[in-house]
Amino acid sequence: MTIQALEAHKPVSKTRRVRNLKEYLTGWSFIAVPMTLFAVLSIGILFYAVYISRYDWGLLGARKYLGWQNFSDSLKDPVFLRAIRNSLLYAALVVPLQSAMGLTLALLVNSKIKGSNFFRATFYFPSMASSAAITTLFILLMTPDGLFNKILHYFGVNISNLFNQGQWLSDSRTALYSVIGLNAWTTSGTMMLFYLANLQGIDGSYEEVAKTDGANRWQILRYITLPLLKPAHFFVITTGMIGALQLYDQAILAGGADGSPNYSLMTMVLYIYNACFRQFKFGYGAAIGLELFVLIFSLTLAQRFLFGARAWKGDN
Amino acid sequence: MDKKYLSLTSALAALVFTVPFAVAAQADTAAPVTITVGTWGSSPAETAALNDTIATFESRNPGIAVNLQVDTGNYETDMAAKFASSTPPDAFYLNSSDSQLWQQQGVLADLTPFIAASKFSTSAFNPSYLTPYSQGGQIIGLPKDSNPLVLEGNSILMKEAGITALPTTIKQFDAQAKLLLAKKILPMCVDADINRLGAWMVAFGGGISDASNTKSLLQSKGSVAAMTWIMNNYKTGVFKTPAQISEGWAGSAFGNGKCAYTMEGAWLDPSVQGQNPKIFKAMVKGPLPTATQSGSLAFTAAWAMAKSSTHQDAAWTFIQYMESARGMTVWTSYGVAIPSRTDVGTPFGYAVNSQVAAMKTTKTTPSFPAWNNVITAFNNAAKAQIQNKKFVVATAVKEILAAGQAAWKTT
Repeated sequence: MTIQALEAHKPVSKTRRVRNLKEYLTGWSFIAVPMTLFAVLSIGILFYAVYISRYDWGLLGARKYLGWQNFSDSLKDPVFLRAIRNSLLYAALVVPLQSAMGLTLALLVNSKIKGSNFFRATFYFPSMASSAAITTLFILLMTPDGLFNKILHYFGVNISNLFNQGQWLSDSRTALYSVIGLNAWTTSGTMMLFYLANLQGIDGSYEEVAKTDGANRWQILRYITLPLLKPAHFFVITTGMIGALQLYDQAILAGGADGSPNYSLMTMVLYIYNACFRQFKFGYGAAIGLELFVLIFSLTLAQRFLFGARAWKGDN
Repeated sequence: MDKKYLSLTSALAALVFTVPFAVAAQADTAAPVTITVGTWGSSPAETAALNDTIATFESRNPGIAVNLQVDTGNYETDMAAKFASSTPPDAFYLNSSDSQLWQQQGVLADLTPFIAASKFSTSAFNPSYLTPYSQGGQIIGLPKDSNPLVLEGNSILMKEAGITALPTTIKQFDAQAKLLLAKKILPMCVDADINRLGAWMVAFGGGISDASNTKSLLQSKGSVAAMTWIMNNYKTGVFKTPAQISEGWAGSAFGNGKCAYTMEGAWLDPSVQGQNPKIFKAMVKGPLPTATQSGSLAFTAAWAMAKSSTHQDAAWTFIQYMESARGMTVWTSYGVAIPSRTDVGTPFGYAVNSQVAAMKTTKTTPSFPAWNNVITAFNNAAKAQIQNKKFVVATAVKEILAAGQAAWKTT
């Protein structure tokens, strides 16, 4: 038997046991309040949603037991299917865009350029601004008479000849893509911060060794920096995906509760809002909420599988 | 102890014991009941009018105090949350489009017993404004006012094109549109919204629904004719949506002098006055041009009471005053809305609105649980067609009306 094994089997004194118990209780008492809140407000609500989802649940509570009908009804509704398609398309485009922009900005402000602190603050500014305020501003910029079309006109583009006549947010063919552009821009600052925090944690000696071995800047980025940022990629993509699938505020501000024009801005969360607060179908809304939960949970697990368990733990 | 003193002491003691209770009892009966009144806030002018009307109510009913809650956010959503948490206001605005849905949820009080008990007469109300709030023998609201769509013209722009008067027929409108387009003036700004275009359906002899809200008229001959005329106007540039000319709503386009005509209700007047006094002075109003009949679409909202209210008697006293000829005269004198009672005078400057409101061919917007779905489906289909410059009018009309019709069946 090794010394370590003998140490492990050494009887623990009574004082030590009391001290351990005290530590144990102190630890639990510290987390008791937040854990209770989490259990009631997050886990409890989830089970409550499962319960509600099996009823025709109106403003004053349960009206009729429906079983799984709310779930099956949702999958037959073309507007809901459109909402799923919009949400997935939005997530599929906005997540790579915001990650790429965040990484590029992080690499820029991490380099030893003059005024890098100023640029960090500037790039992060859109993320700090209120989503409602920035979306309202964006709507004004994107109107047919707005600044965006004026810039296009300055570069010789004839707006009235454009397929959408310069109506970026009121044309169903461009509305969702316009919101994707808006959100990629506003969230890139936050993604930049995540990447920057990881970039600054990378040991500078790797780069120095690579330089000594004759690697150029692209090779350093390609073979050293990007692989070492794997936990950051995982974090940025996962949180980005979760946020993207929950798109609501920009969609309702730009397209109203109907997700106009022509449901192009109808997202899953906006659909839940409509079901609950415009049609008072809370059971149906809960069913959609659970479907969204399953979708997000599955995608997160898929990403975990894709990036590997080490990235999950934040291990480079 | 002397008998005299004994009785005096007893009387004093009785007085000492009973007076505080008597005073307290008196204070209890004198304490005013406070009722909560919930409304949406469409404009500062409306809130000011409401405050003044409530002040006149309180001066006549010292036993009832009103706590006014003006919701400047999303009224329907906020009310849903209040109903769900059993904290709705005692009396509140009820939009005609929500009336049936809210009634279905069992959150509205039936006003019928209160009307009967107080012998309140509903005969002075224009019957079409009562329809959205009457179902299954119950009255769930009383129309506080009405607001029909009328034609508003900018006489400055009309003059530029050599037009001296508003068109009274569709033929005249078409002729004037050509004159305006020749001068590069947009004839009409109107949103592709069933709550606007529906007025033309009525004017063409069709409509959105029958009086009982049970039968759709969307695919009637008159509605198809109206939609064909409308979509043709969108295609030729006679009509443009507010979004096409960078405006949030047609009234703002009109106030900015971007179109010669628009079709809005009485709410347009204070808006244009605030936005552009010069255009407000030049604004002329008339009924919508006649196609097969002179008709329009009117909006109405009601005062309703919460089923869960603990002050139903006081809330009814409030509603009764607001719905009386006296209360409605004060409320509509500010010009933000047109009376729903026929015995209340026309507010100054709103003679045309009142004339249109009183017309038998002016129809109120439908109210049934799937109505909001019809609005969404119709509007989305219409906007999808208009955004495509090369749309075929006949196909577009067919698709838009079919979308509205399909949504009619949803619940």
